[in-house]
Amino acid sequence: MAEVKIGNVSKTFDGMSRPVLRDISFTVNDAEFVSLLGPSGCGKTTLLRIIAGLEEQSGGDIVIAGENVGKVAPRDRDMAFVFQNYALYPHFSVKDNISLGLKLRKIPAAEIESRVRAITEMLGLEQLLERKPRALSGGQRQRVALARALIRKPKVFLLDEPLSNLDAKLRDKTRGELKMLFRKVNGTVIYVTHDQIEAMTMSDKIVILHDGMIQQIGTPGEIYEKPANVFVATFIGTPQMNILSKAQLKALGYPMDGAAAPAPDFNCGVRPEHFELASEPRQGWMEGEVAMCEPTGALTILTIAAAGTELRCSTALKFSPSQTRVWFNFSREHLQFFDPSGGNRL
Amino acid sequence: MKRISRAAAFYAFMLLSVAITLFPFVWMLSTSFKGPGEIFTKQPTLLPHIWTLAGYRSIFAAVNIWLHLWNSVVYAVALTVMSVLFNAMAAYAFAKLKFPGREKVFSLLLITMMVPGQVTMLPVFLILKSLGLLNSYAGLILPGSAAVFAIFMMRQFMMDIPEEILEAARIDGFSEFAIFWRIMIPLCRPIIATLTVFSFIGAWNDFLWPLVIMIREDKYTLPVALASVNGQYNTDWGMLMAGAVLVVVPAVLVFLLAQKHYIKGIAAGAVKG
Repeated sequence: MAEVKIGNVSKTFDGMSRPVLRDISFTVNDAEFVSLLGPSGCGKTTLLRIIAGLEEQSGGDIVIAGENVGKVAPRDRDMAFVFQNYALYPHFSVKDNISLGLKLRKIPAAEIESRVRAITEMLGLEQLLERKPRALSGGQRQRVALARALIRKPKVFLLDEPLSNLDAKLRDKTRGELKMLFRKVNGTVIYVTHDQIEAMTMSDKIVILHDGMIQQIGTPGEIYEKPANVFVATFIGTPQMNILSKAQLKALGYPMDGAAAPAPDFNCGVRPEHFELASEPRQGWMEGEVAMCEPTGALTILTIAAAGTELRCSTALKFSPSQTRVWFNFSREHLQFFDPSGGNRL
Repeated sequence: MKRISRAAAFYAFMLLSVAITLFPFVWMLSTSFKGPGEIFTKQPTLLPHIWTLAGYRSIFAAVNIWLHLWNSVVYAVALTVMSVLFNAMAAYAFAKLKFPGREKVFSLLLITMMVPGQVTMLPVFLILKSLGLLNSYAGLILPGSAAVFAIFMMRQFMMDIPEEILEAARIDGFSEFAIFWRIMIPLCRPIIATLTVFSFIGAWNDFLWPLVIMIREDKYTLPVALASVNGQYNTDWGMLMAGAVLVVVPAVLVFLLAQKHYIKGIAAGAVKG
């Protein structure tokens, strides 16, 4: 296992003027699980491909275990890559798919045999060794792709949305399994996803990308509690954080004295779960109309229209669909403040 | 009721098409077993009244069939193997490798498809003459061993093979040639079968090029040898048809062997466009 340092990496594709990655720098510590999270087209997969050597960076360095691998061919970087569509060799059996990488590296046959046995036992693939990939289910293919990566014992594992082709139930189950698996092998993992639940539940550290730039690097807790800017604040969390301007806050009648505000002008954010709600009037609370009520089981998501503003909040209270008016409040300590011009945290 | 009659009309049409396609072959086969008297009758017969091997005996007597068969086999097999190999390599480069000017070079290649083969025949003949390759297998085979049409077909097929499989192979440690040989070629089996049939049958039936290149009689391929026994004043049709049967049978066998993959290749090409 090894540490990976990404230093000032940028990438502009041939014939395009806009860079897809701009000045990306971060470090993945040994045995750390780091997610690259961002919306489609933010450059996260390109970054992963650059780390793997499948794409060449326009500038910057990739350093793995102290060695600059910028000009090193993918096969000599000692990394394993799990592709979104698994990219198994369709004409080879499961066993060959898993073991070919070792054969090409001239590992002795007996050693290959024992590693194949260990890895297939770990992933429950023993019965499938002679099958071709087309005779496997999606979940089984995904495990074969993982086995192919794990068996090499590489310095770094690179995973590109490996769960996105599984159905929701299997994805939930596999998420936990993956986390355990990589902890067991002490793997240094860089994991690309657009799914915030995956990133939040599995990662030691999350790198949030938007428009080719890093927005924030932090633990899942830090990113949720202290988002660096409005993009991160609204990207993480479902339903997303409500962002209100100073004027909107005033129109709602929220008491905001000068001393409590961090700057003369600001936008403030409040997460849906930080709303207090009541179905009858309360002293000092704000009043709104229920525009939409979405029961999800444990929680109910309400969309409230008040003073020309739409607010989304979630609550464990049960609301009857006939309820049209609601009273709400949120405490000062839960507010996050952002600069209205740049969107950065104040 | 309407559906049944429509199906009946469809099958009738298909059967008629099959009959029209097969008739010349059946006629050839039947004539090859007829005696000279029966070939020229006022009332043509589909099957011979008296079956005879006279045609076959005369063709074996007139030309050294085994020698010309050997020449044809060498020509068709060598051309097929070489063209599949070279065309696949070129197609792989055009489909999957990135190099400057790739699209331009490929367009240039496509443009050459518009030049008829007869136009280049004389210059190629002169080149081969100055290389001393007339009357040789090399002269016969080399000019046809790369074909733009085949490169185009294979490239279209290869472009549909996901890039990730090749990238996975690169990370796994395959060399570029190993990726071509161990990943790409097996995945291209349907299109290779199609092109094998095309180039084998093309070479097997080829008449003009072997006639131009092979001047000595012992170098003739089967179709050329067959044409050479056609007399100036009379034609022994029984003998000629027997010879034609001998030429057609191997081509049909190759087609039947490759048929399963062949149809897959054609269909795949059609969808990809």
